[in-house]
Amino acid sequence: MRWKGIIFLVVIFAILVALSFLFTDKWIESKLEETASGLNGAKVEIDNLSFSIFGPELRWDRLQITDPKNTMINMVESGFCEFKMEFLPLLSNKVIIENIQLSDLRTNTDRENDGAISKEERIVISQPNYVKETVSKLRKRIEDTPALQLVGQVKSANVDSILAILNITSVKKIDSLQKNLTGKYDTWYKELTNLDYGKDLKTIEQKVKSFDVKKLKSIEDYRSALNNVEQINSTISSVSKDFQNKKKSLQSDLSNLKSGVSVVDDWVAADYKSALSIAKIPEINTQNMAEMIFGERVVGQFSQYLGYVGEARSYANKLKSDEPEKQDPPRLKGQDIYFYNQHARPDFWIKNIDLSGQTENQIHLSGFVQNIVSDQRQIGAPTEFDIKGSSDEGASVELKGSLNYLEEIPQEKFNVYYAGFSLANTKISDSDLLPNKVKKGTGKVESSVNLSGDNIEGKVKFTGQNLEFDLSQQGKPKNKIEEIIQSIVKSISTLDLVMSIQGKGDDLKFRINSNLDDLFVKKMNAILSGEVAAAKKKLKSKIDAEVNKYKGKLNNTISAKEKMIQSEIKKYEDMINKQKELVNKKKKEIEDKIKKEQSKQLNKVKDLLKF
Amino acid sequence: MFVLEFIAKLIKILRSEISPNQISWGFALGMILGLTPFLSLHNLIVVILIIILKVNLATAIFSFGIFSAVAYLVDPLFHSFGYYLLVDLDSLNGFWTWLYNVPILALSKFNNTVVMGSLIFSVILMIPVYFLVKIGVVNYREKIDVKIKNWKFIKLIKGTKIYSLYEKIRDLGV
Repeated sequence: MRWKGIIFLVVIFAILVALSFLFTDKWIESKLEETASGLNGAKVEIDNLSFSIFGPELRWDRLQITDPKNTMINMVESGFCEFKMEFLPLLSNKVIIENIQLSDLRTNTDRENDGAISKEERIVISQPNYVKETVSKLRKRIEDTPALQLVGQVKSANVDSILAILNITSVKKIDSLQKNLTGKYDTWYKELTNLDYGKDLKTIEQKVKSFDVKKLKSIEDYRSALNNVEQINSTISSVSKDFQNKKKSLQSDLSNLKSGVSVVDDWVAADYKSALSIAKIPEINTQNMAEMIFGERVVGQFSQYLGYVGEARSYANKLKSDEPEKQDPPRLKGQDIYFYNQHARPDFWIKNIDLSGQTENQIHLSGFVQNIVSDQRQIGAPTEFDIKGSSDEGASVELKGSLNYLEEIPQEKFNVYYAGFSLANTKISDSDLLPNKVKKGTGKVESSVNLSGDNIEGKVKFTGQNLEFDLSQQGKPKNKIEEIIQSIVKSISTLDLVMSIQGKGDDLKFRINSNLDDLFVKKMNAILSGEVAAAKKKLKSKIDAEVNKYKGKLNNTISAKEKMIQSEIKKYEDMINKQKELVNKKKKEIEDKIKKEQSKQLNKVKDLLKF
Repeated sequence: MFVLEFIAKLIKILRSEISPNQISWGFALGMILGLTPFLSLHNLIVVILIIILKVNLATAIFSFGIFSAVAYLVDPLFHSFGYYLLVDLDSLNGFWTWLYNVPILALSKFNNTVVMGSLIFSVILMIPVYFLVKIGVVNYREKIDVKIKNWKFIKLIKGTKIYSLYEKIRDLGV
C-alpha cells in the first residue's frame, strides 16, 4: 500500500470537490445550452444556472429560446425558475423532475444579440419517411400551382422555346412504331412470297387438264376418273384451308399492329399536356386559386409542425426498437444502447410543467405540459398539454394536445383555438395576389389535426373579420391583373379560409378554399380565358404540325405495305379459285358422262325386256 | 528526440531496482486506461489502484500513452465487439437490462459500445499482458541488458563527446 498515494488521492478529491462548487454550474449550463440549441436550431440561453446537490435542485434566472426563423427574436422567454430532482435516480443516470414552475413566460421578445448558431452546431434528427414524403408532396403541389405572373407568362409563352425544351416523345415513339410495323409487314410479305402453293397448283392444273373425258370408255373408267378428280379436289381444299389459316393469322397480327397505331393520339395528347405544364398555362378554378393565394403559407406552417411531430416520433421509435440499428459513430464516441425495462423508471421524466405568462398580444397564458418522458411505456401515460389564455381586449387562445407513443401505432392530436387577435400589420398571404399588409382587423383560427401512424386528418379554419388592407404602399396598377387585385383588396372585409388534409401516402387529399376564390376566379378568367385559349391553340397547332409529319409517313407506310400484302394474298386466292373451278368443271363433265352412260345402259336393258 | 528519450526512460526503468511485478502491474493497468475511454467510472477505480498500490507509475503512464494510440486505431473493432455483446448476444440482454437500472453502475457508461468492447477486451488481455511483461522484464535484466551493454555500437556512442555532453545536461536537470 502506498500511503503517500492515499494522501495524494484525498488531496485531489478535496480539490475536485472545491472546484465542482465553482465550476459545476457553468459546466451544466453550457452543456444544457449546447444540447438545447442544437435541437432548436438556434441559441437557447440560460442565465445564472445554479445546481445544488442538496435537494438536489436546479434554478436559473432567465431562459431564452431563439426563434430559428428570426434569430433576433426569442420565441419564448421565461423568468426565474427553480425545481427539484429526485436524488436516487440520479445515481442510475436518470433525471426525474416532479414539477417545474415556468412563470413569467413571454413570447416573441426582442433579443439583445443574434441567436443564430452554425450549421455544425445543429443536431439533425432524421425524419420518418412518411413525414418527408408528405411534406414533399404538399410542396410539389404548391410549386405546381401556377403563380400569379400568369398573364405575363401566358402572353410571353414562347411556343418555339417551349417546344425546344419539350421533348416531343410521340415523334420518337411514332418513328419506332413505324420501324416495328415495317419489319412485321416485311416478314409477312416474305413468308407469303415463299409459299410453294404455285408449284403445287400448277401440278394439279396439269393433272386435271390431262384428263380427257372423250377417251374414257367404260363406266369403270369414268368412276376411276371421278375418284382421281375428287382426290385432286381434296388436295386443292387442303391447300386452300392451309392458305386461309395463314391469312387469318396474318390478318389477326396486322389488326394487332394497327391497334397499336391507335395509341398515337394518346402519345400526342400526353405531349400536349407536358407542353401546357412547361408553359404553366393555368386552369383557373376555385381550388387552385386558393392554393395560389394561401398555399405557400399554409403548407409552410403545416410542414414545420409535421417536422416537429416527425422528430418526436423518431426519438420515440429509437427507444422502442428491441434491436437498435448499428450506427457508425465518430471514433472513441461509440453508440449508446438503451435497455427497456417496463418496471424501471424512465431515463428522463418531467412529470409536470406549470406554465404562466403572456404573449406579445397581452394574452395571459396559463396551463400545463405533463409527462415529458424518454419512454412513455414505462409510465403508461402519453405526453399531454393544455394551455389557455385570454386578454383584456377579448382575445382568447387554447392549445390542447397529446403525443401518444404507448402503442405500436404512434398517435398525435392537436387542437388549437385562437380568436380575437389583431391582424394589424400582418401579411396573411405570401402570394403576389394578396400583397398588402392588413391595416385593421381581427382573426380567428380553429384547427384540429389528428395523426395516427401514416394517416393524417386535419382541418384548419381561419376567419379574418373587419379587414382593412394597407393600400398606401401600392402605386398605380401596372396591368389589368394588378388592377383586379387592388379592386378586390379594397372590397374585402372578411376572409374565410378552410384547409383540409386527409389520408396518407399517394392517397393524400389536400384542399384549400376561401371566400376570395370565386371573386378572383371570375375576374381572372375574364382576362385570362382569351389569352389562355390563344396560347393553347398555338401550342396545339405547333405540336400537331410536328407530329403530323411523322403520322403521315406512318400512314403511308401502312397503306403501301398493306397493298403489297393484299395483292399477294389475292394472287394466291385467284390461283386456288381458278384450280377449284377447273376441277369442278372436270368433275361435272365426268359426272354428266356417267349419267349419260347409265341411261344408255338402262335403255339397252329395257329394249331387251321388250323382246 | 522525444521517442529516444522515451526509450531511454523505459530502459532506465527496466534496469532499475523496481520489481518486475510492479512494472507488469503498472503496464497492465495503464493498458486498461489507454484502451478504454478515459472519462469512465471504471477508469476512476483503475487510477485509484495505480496510485494506492505499489505499481510502477512511469510504466503505467508509458503503457497508457502507447495503448491510447492503439485504441484510436482499433476503435471500430471495439464498437463492433461492444455492439455484439450488448445487442447481438441475446442471452446477456436480461443482465444488461438489470445493470442499466442499478444505481452507480448505471453511471459506468457500460451501455456504450466502445466502453463495453474496449473494457472487456482489456480485462481479458490484462492477465496475459501482466505475465508477458513480467517474463520480459526478468529476461531483459538477466540476458538482454548485458548483451546490449556490450554492443560495439553502444560503446561507440557512449564514447562520443556528444553523449558525455548529454549526460552532463541530464545530470544538471536532475
